[in-house]
Amino acid sequence: MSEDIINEGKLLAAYIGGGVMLLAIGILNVASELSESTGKALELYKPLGAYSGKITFGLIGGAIVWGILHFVLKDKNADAKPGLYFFIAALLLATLFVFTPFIGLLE
Amino acid sequence: MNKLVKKSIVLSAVSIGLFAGMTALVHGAGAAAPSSLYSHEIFAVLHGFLGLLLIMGLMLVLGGLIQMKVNGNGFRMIKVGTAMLLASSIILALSGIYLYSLYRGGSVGAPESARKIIKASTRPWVHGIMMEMKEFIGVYVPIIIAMMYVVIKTYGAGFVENKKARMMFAVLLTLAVVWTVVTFGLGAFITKTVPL
Repeated sequence: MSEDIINEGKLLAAYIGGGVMLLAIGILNVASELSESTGKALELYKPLGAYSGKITFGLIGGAIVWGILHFVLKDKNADAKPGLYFFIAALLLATLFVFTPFIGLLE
Repeated sequence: MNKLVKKSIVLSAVSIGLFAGMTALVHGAGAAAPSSLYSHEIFAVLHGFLGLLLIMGLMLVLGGLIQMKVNGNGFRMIKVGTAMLLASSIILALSGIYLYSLYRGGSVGAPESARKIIKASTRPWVHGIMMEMKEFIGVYVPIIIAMMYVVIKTYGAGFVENKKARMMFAVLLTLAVVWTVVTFGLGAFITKTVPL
Protein backbone atom coordinates (compact mmCIF):
# COMPACT_ATOMS: atom_id res chain seq x y z
CA MET A 1 0.00 0.00 0.00
CA SER A 2 2.75 2.41 1.00
CA GLU A 3 4.38 1.88 -2.41
CA ASP A 4 1.81 4.27 -3.91
CA ILE A 5 2.33 6.99 -1.30
CA ILE A 6 6.14 7.27 -1.22
CA ASN A 7 7.56 9.81 -3.66
CA GLU A 8 10.57 8.23 -5.34
CA GLY A 9 11.76 11.33 -7.25
CA LYS A 10 14.75 11.90 -4.96
CA LEU A 11 15.71 8.24 -5.19
CA LEU A 12 15.47 8.33 -8.99
CA ALA A 13 17.73 11.41 -9.00
CA ALA A 14 20.23 9.56 -6.79
CA TYR A 15 20.30 6.51 -9.04
CA ILE A 16 20.85 8.60 -12.17
CA GLY A 17 23.44 10.84 -10.45
CA GLY A 18 25.30 7.81 -9.04
CA GLY A 19 25.16 6.09 -12.41
CA VAL A 20 26.57 9.17 -14.15
CA MET A 21 29.42 9.27 -11.58
CA LEU A 22 30.35 5.67 -12.39
CA LEU A 23 30.00 6.10 -16.16
CA ALA A 24 31.99 9.34 -16.15
CA ILE A 25 34.88 7.69 -14.25
CA GLY A 26 34.84 4.74 -16.67
CA ILE A 27 34.63 6.90 -19.82
CA LEU A 28 37.41 9.22 -18.59
CA ASN A 29 39.59 6.16 -17.97
CA VAL A 30 39.03 4.85 -21.50
CA ALA A 31 39.64 8.34 -22.94
CA SER A 32 42.92 8.77 -21.06
CA GLU A 33 44.12 5.30 -22.04
CA LEU A 34 43.37 5.95 -25.72
CA SER A 35 44.68 9.53 -25.85
CA GLU A 36 47.92 10.57 -24.21
CA SER A 37 46.97 14.26 -24.25
CA THR A 38 43.69 13.51 -22.39
CA GLY A 39 45.66 11.54 -19.82
CA LYS A 40 48.03 14.47 -19.29
CA ALA A 41 45.11 16.90 -19.02
CA LEU A 42 43.58 14.75 -16.28
CA GLU A 43 46.76 14.85 -14.20
CA LEU A 44 45.61 17.16 -11.39
CA TYR A 45 47.92 15.78 -8.71
CA LYS A 46 51.28 14.36 -9.82
CA PRO A 47 51.68 11.52 -7.25
CA LEU A 48 48.35 10.07 -8.46
CA GLY A 49 48.77 10.82 -12.17
CA ALA A 50 45.69 10.89 -14.42
CA TYR A 51 43.78 8.89 -11.78
CA SER A 52 43.30 12.13 -9.79
CA GLY A 53 41.44 13.83 -12.65
CA LYS A 54 39.38 10.77 -13.57
CA ILE A 55 38.04 10.39 -10.03
CA THR A 56 37.64 14.13 -9.34
CA PHE A 57 35.83 15.01 -12.58
CA GLY A 58 33.78 11.79 -12.51
CA LEU A 59 32.52 12.45 -8.99
CA ILE A 60 31.91 16.17 -9.60
CA GLY A 61 30.07 15.49 -12.90
CA GLY A 62 27.80 12.90 -11.26
CA ALA A 63 27.22 15.14 -8.23
CA ILE A 64 26.12 18.03 -10.48
CA VAL A 65 23.65 15.76 -12.35
CA TRP A 66 22.40 14.38 -9.01
CA GLY A 67 21.95 17.88 -7.58
CA ILE A 68 20.05 19.21 -10.62
CA LEU A 69 17.80 16.14 -10.86
CA HIS A 70 17.18 16.24 -7.10
CA PHE A 71 15.57 19.69 -7.41
CA VAL A 72 13.76 18.81 -10.64
CA LEU A 73 12.34 15.49 -9.40
CA LYS A 74 11.93 15.99 -5.64
CA ASP A 75 8.22 16.86 -5.85
CA LYS A 76 7.42 14.64 -8.84
CA ASN A 77 5.69 11.31 -8.52
CA ALA A 78 8.34 9.14 -10.13
CA ASP A 79 9.09 5.43 -10.28
CA ALA A 80 12.67 4.70 -9.15
CA LYS A 81 12.89 1.22 -10.69
CA PRO A 82 14.14 2.35 -14.15
CA GLY A 83 16.74 4.43 -12.29
CA LEU A 84 17.98 1.30 -10.50
CA TYR A 85 18.29 -0.51 -13.84
CA PHE A 86 20.28 2.45 -15.19
CA PHE A 87 22.52 2.41 -12.10
CA ILE A 88 23.22 -1.34 -12.46
CA ALA A 89 23.95 -0.96 -16.20
CA ALA A 90 26.26 2.00 -15.42
CA LEU A 91 28.09 -0.03 -12.74
CA LEU A 92 28.66 -2.95 -15.11
CA LEU A 93 29.82 -0.67 -17.94
CA ALA A 94 32.05 1.38 -15.63
CA THR A 95 33.67 -1.85 -14.41
CA LEU A 96 34.20 -3.00 -18.00
CA PHE A 97 35.73 0.39 -18.85
CA VAL A 98 38.45 -0.06 -16.21
CA PHE A 99 39.26 -3.61 -17.30
CA THR A 100 42.44 -3.08 -19.35
CA PRO A 101 42.05 -6.11 -21.70
CA PHE A 102 38.77 -4.55 -22.86
CA ILE A 103 40.44 -1.17 -23.46
CA GLY A 104 43.09 -3.07 -25.45
CA LEU A 105 40.36 -4.11 -27.90
CA LEU A 106 39.59 -0.44 -28.61
CA GLU A 107 43.19 0.57 -29.33
CA MET B 1 19.13 -3.50 19.15
CA ASN B 2 20.41 -0.08 20.11
CA LYS B 3 22.55 -1.63 22.86
CA LEU B 4 23.88 -4.20 20.43
CA VAL B 5 24.95 -1.51 17.96
CA LYS B 6 26.61 0.51 20.76
CA LYS B 7 28.43 -2.57 22.07
CA SER B 8 29.61 -3.42 18.55
CA ILE B 9 30.99 0.11 18.03
CA VAL B 10 32.80 0.09 21.41
CA LEU B 11 34.19 -3.41 20.77
CA SER B 12 35.40 -2.43 17.28
CA ALA B 13 37.07 0.75 18.61
CA VAL B 14 38.78 -1.19 21.44
CA SER B 15 39.96 -3.89 18.99
CA ILE B 16 41.39 -1.34 16.56
CA GLY B 17 43.06 0.51 19.46
CA LEU B 18 44.55 -2.76 20.74
CA PHE B 19 46.05 -3.68 17.36
CA ALA B 20 47.26 -0.14 16.66
CA GLY B 21 48.85 -0.05 20.12
CA MET B 22 50.49 -3.44 19.62
CA THR B 23 52.38 -2.20 16.56
CA ALA B 24 54.49 0.02 18.86
CA LEU B 25 55.85 -3.19 20.47
CA VAL B 26 57.13 -4.50 17.14
CA HIS B 27 60.93 -4.40 17.00
CA GLY B 28 62.16 -1.50 14.86
CA ALA B 29 58.74 0.07 14.37
CA GLY B 30 59.03 3.62 13.08
CA ALA B 31 62.83 3.56 12.86
CA ALA B 32 64.50 4.35 9.54
CA ALA B 33 66.39 1.09 9.01
CA PRO B 34 65.92 -1.29 6.04
CA SER B 35 64.17 -3.94 8.15
CA SER B 36 61.89 -1.50 9.95
CA LEU B 37 58.14 -1.46 10.13
CA TYR B 38 57.18 1.93 8.69
CA SER B 39 54.15 4.01 9.52
CA HIS B 40 52.76 3.64 5.99
CA GLU B 41 52.94 -0.15 6.40
CA ILE B 42 50.88 0.11 9.59
CA PHE B 43 48.51 2.37 7.64
CA ALA B 44 48.29 -0.25 4.87
CA VAL B 45 47.50 -2.97 7.42
CA LEU B 46 44.75 -0.80 8.95
CA HIS B 47 43.41 -0.14 5.42
CA GLY B 48 43.13 -3.90 4.83
CA PHE B 49 41.62 -4.39 8.28
CA LEU B 50 39.00 -1.72 7.59
CA GLY B 51 38.22 -3.45 4.29
CA LEU B 52 37.59 -6.68 6.15
CA LEU B 53 35.38 -4.81 8.66
CA LEU B 54 33.42 -3.38 5.72
CA ILE B 55 32.71 -6.88 4.40
CA MET B 56 31.63 -7.97 7.90
CA GLY B 57 29.45 -4.85 8.21
CA LEU B 58 27.74 -5.67 4.90
CA MET B 59 27.01 -9.15 6.28
CA LEU B 60 25.59 -7.56 9.45
CA VAL B 61 23.20 -5.46 7.35
CA LEU B 62 22.27 -8.60 5.41
CA GLY B 63 21.54 -10.24 8.78
CA GLY B 64 19.29 -7.30 9.68
CA LEU B 65 17.43 -7.72 6.39
CA ILE B 66 16.87 -11.44 7.09
CA GLN B 67 15.80 -10.70 10.68
CA MET B 68 13.32 -8.12 9.39
CA LYS B 69 11.86 -10.74 7.05
CA VAL B 70 11.56 -13.26 9.90
CA ASN B 71 10.09 -11.17 12.73
CA GLY B 72 9.65 -7.62 11.41
CA ASN B 73 12.53 -6.22 13.53
CA GLY B 74 15.98 -5.21 12.39
CA PHE B 75 15.22 -1.86 10.69
CA ARG B 76 17.35 0.09 13.16
CA MET B 77 20.25 -2.31 12.61
CA ILE B 78 19.91 -1.78 8.86
CA LYS B 79 19.66 2.03 9.15
CA VAL B 80 22.57 2.50 11.58
CA GLY B 81 24.57 -0.22 9.82
CA THR B 82 24.16 1.41 6.40
CA ALA B 83 25.19 4.85 7.74
CA MET B 84 28.29 3.28 9.34
CA LEU B 85 29.09 1.40 6.14
CA LEU B 86 28.83 4.61 4.12
CA ALA B 87 31.22 6.44 6.48
CA SER B 88 33.71 3.55 6.62
CA SER B 89 33.64 2.98 2.86
CA ILE B 90 34.45 6.67 2.26
CA ILE B 91 37.35 6.50 4.76
CA LEU B 92 38.48 3.27 3.11
CA ALA B 93 38.41 4.81 -0.38
CA LEU B 94 40.30 7.92 0.77
CA SER B 95 42.96 5.88 2.58
CA GLY B 96 43.22 3.68 -0.53
CA ILE B 97 43.84 6.75 -2.69
CA TYR B 98 46.62 7.86 -0.31
CA LEU B 99 48.19 4.37 -0.41
CA TYR B 100 47.92 4.38 -4.22
CA SER B 101 50.12 7.49 -4.30
CA LEU B 102 52.76 5.52 -2.34
CA TYR B 103 52.29 2.53 -4.63
CA ARG B 104 53.01 4.77 -7.63
CA GLY B 105 55.71 6.98 -6.21
CA GLY B 106 57.40 4.86 -3.56
CA SER B 107 57.82 5.65 0.11
CA VAL B 108 60.33 5.90 2.95
CA GLY B 109 62.37 2.69 3.03
CA ALA B 110 61.26 1.70 -0.50
CA PRO B 111 63.63 3.24 -3.06
CA GLU B 112 61.65 1.74 -5.94
CA SER B 113 57.89 1.99 -6.09
CA ALA B 114 55.79 -1.17 -5.89
CA ARG B 115 54.34 -0.25 -9.29
CA LYS B 116 57.79 -0.10 -10.88
CA ILE B 117 58.83 -3.43 -9.32
CA ILE B 118 55.66 -5.19 -10.51
CA LYS B 119 55.90 -3.75 -14.04
CA ALA B 120 59.52 -4.94 -14.32
CA SER B 121 58.72 -8.40 -12.94
CA THR B 122 57.59 -11.55 -14.75
CA ARG B 123 54.01 -10.74 -13.74
CA PRO B 124 53.37 -7.18 -14.99
CA TRP B 125 49.66 -8.02 -15.36
CA VAL B 126 49.35 -7.73 -11.57
CA HIS B 127 49.62 -3.98 -12.17
CA GLY B 128 48.29 -3.83 -15.74
CA ILE B 129 45.03 -5.61 -14.99
CA MET B 130 44.57 -6.09 -11.24
CA MET B 131 45.76 -2.76 -9.81
CA GLU B 132 44.31 -0.78 -12.72
CA MET B 133 40.94 -2.34 -11.89
CA LYS B 134 41.20 -2.21 -8.09
CA GLU B 135 42.00 1.52 -7.96
CA PHE B 136 38.63 2.24 -9.61
CA ILE B 137 36.23 -0.39 -8.29
CA GLY B 138 37.33 0.52 -4.76
CA VAL B 139 35.84 3.97 -5.41
CA TYR B 140 32.64 2.45 -6.85
CA VAL B 141 31.83 0.79 -3.48
CA PRO B 142 30.99 4.02 -1.54
CA ILE B 143 28.76 5.09 -4.46
CA ILE B 144 26.80 1.80 -4.26
CA ILE B 145 26.50 2.12 -0.47
CA ALA B 146 25.37 5.76 -0.87
CA MET B 147 22.48 4.45 -3.02
CA MET B 148 21.60 1.97 -0.24
CA TYR B 149 21.52 4.85 2.24
CA VAL B 150 19.27 6.95 -0.04
CA VAL B 151 16.81 4.02 -0.29
CA ILE B 152 16.64 3.88 3.54
CA LYS B 153 16.25 7.69 3.81
CA THR B 154 13.53 7.77 1.11
CA TYR B 155 11.30 5.11 2.67
CA GLY B 156 12.11 5.63 6.36
CA ALA B 157 10.16 3.29 8.64
CA GLY B 158 7.94 2.42 5.64
CA PHE B 159 10.92 0.41 4.34
CA VAL B 160 9.82 -2.56 6.48
CA GLU B 161 6.41 -2.81 4.77
CA ASN B 162 7.52 -1.92 1.27
CA LYS B 163 8.49 -4.96 -0.82
CA LYS B 164 9.85 -2.86 -3.69
CA ALA B 165 12.14 -0.90 -1.32
CA ARG B 166 13.42 -4.12 0.28
CA MET B 167 14.08 -5.63 -3.16
CA MET B 168 16.00 -2.55 -4.35
CA PHE B 169 18.02 -2.51 -1.12
CA ALA B 170 18.80 -6.24 -1.39
CA VAL B 171 20.00 -5.81 -5.00
CA LEU B 172 22.27 -2.90 -4.01
CA LEU B 173 23.55 -4.81 -0.96
CA THR B 174 24.45 -7.78 -3.17
CA LEU B 175 26.31 -5.48 -5.59
CA ALA B 176 28.14 -3.82 -2.67
CA VAL B 177 29.20 -7.22 -1.27
CA VAL B 178 30.46 -8.48 -4.66
CA TRP B 179 32.37 -5.28 -5.52
CA THR B 180 33.87 -5.05 -1.99
CA VAL B 181 34.98 -8.70 -1.96
CA VAL B 182 36.57 -8.38 -5.44
CA THR B 183 38.37 -5.17 -4.38
CA PHE B 184 39.56 -6.83 -1.16
CA GLY B 185 40.75 -9.93 -3.03
CA LEU B 186 42.67 -7.89 -5.61
CA GLY B 187 44.24 -5.81 -2.82
CA ALA B 188 45.33 -8.92 -0.94
CA PHE B 189 46.85 -10.44 -4.10
CA ILE B 190 48.71 -7.25 -5.04
CA THR B 191 50.06 -6.86 -1.49
CA LYS B 192 51.26 -10.48 -1.54
CA THR B 193 53.08 -9.82 -4.82
CA VAL B 194 54.87 -6.65 -3.66
CA PRO B 195 54.12 -5.05 -0.28
CA LEU B 196 54.19 -1.26 -0.07
